[in-house]
Amino acid sequence: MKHRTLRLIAWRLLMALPILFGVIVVTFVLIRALPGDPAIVYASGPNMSQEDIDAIRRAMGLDKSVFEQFLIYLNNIAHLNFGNSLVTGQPVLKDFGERLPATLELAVFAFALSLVVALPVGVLSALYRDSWIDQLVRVITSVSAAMPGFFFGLILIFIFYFLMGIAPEPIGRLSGWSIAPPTVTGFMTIDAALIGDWEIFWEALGKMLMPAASMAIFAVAPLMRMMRGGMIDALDSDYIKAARAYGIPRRKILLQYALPNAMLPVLATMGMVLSTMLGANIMIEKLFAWPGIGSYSVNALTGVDYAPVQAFVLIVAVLFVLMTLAIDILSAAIDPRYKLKG
Amino acid sequence: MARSVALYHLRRNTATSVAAAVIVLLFLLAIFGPLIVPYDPLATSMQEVLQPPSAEHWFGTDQLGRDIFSRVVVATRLDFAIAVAAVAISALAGISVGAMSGYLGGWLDGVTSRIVDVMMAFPLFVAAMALVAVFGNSVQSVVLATSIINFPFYFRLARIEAASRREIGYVEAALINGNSSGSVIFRFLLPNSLPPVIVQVSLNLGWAILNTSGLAFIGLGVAPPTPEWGIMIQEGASMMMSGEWWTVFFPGLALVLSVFCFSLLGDGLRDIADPRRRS
Repeated sequence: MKHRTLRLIAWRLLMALPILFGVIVVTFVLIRALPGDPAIVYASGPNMSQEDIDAIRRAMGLDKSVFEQFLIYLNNIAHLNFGNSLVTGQPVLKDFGERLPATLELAVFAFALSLVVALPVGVLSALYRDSWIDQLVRVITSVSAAMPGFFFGLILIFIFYFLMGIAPEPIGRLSGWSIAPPTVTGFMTIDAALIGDWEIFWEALGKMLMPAASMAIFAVAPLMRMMRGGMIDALDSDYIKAARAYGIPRRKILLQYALPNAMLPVLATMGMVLSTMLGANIMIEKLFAWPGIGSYSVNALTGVDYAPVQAFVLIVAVLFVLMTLAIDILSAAIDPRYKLKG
Repeated sequence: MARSVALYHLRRNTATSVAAAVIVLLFLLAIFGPLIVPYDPLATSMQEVLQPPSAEHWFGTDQLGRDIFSRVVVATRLDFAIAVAAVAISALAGISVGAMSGYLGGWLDGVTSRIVDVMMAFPLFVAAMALVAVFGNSVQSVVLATSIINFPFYFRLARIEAASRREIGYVEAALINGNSSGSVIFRFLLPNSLPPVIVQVSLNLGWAILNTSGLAFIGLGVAPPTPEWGIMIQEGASMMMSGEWWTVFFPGLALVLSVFCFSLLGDGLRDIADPRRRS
């Protein structure tokens, strides 16, 4: 049994390799296809002659065949060399390293928030099927599925920042006069907690609430729907009827038998949820001036600075493939009937 | 018979028919909107900057004194045109390639399926953003990018339909009767995969509108001063911090309403097309 699962996991990992390779090919083609000759962009000074441009082109390896360039690209990726950003003048890797913790902290918090809201409500909605709770949940999920995160975020800003004045200014991770704790994990809340600075901890958490809620809004609807559907299917199943007939306490039936089975469709929809969250991250970081990799990449894109964009697309796609893989393996670990794709 | 069943469900399901009615209304606005709006959506007026909603300006005016009601109505055309064009392209391309791939099988199927797997490895919005960058910052690029990211859904749908029906009796009968593979695909296989495709189209139109406005919001595709819901929200974003809510609220409402109705319609159509999945 264990052995079979391990072999399936190994097989599934193997099957992800061609997709990862495909992703690398696509990002390579992407940078080739982007408008503007990079050499000319670099040589944008008025004194640059054709010889200078050719020299830069040679230095950048653009005079080599496409195949050679691809090998160089592979080699660069293997050494985590993503080139330099024209705007910051720094290696893209360094820029990303500085911004990734901010993105991760917000994304993890938003994801946790959507689970904490969606799953219990989904279960409740299934337990009290067709009651007013269920109807209300159905309306909320339908509307939130149509609600773009950036619009929802702006409504939150209006209500909680402008009208009620209880939310902090919706810009960045800390207000201008607060001193950031020394970077250990890069997660502002954890770093603040580590040095025992609870004032900064609460400030950082408060700053995260509105952007996280805006990111979570789109994920809540599918999660809630799947949780409700999964729970209803589980409750209607024969094994739950049998458990009831045996007189097993209701609490135990729900938590130990129904819930794990109801989680399977939720897991199955997780890939889609992650995809929308990775996309929402870009818009929300831009809206809240969050200093993460999403806003950094959008600014690079509109500033015709393509190295960061290429790296961003590659990193996000690789992350997405790995997360889908993890979900797949998790599903197989929970449900012996689950067939690993591939 | 089939049509009367569909009509029965449509009438029974109020939500679906209301959604359908709103969508028809929105399409009418998309066509006739520019003719009926009270103001020129591009006309600025320095005397009427940031006026709250009133009898003259139902949705108020923006930071340049433009009439928001006129802009919201006129924007319907562009948002709907982009969505319809993008979904039409992806549906036609995805269905033809998918049906061929599923019907013929073999190495062709293997190659196309792997390519689609790689396409699906990119989160949708990130892919759209990168593609718009590649094709250049324009409305056409948004259409093309949106149709590419939606292609895999139609491809997979048509491929599974075609592959599962390949061995079915009527396909065999058609082949024995001397039909070519091409005519089997287009005359016998595709019509049968239409119901799920129609459901997908309805859901996709909503996504495409969300996608377009999201791209416009981060500064890609549609550019100011063109009236478009995403751009209007972006332009009004800083106004939300100073309380001029109408600059964002009305374009956002139009956006949510259209996406909401397309997804309601899609869900309703799914119930009609596939009674087993009725919720």
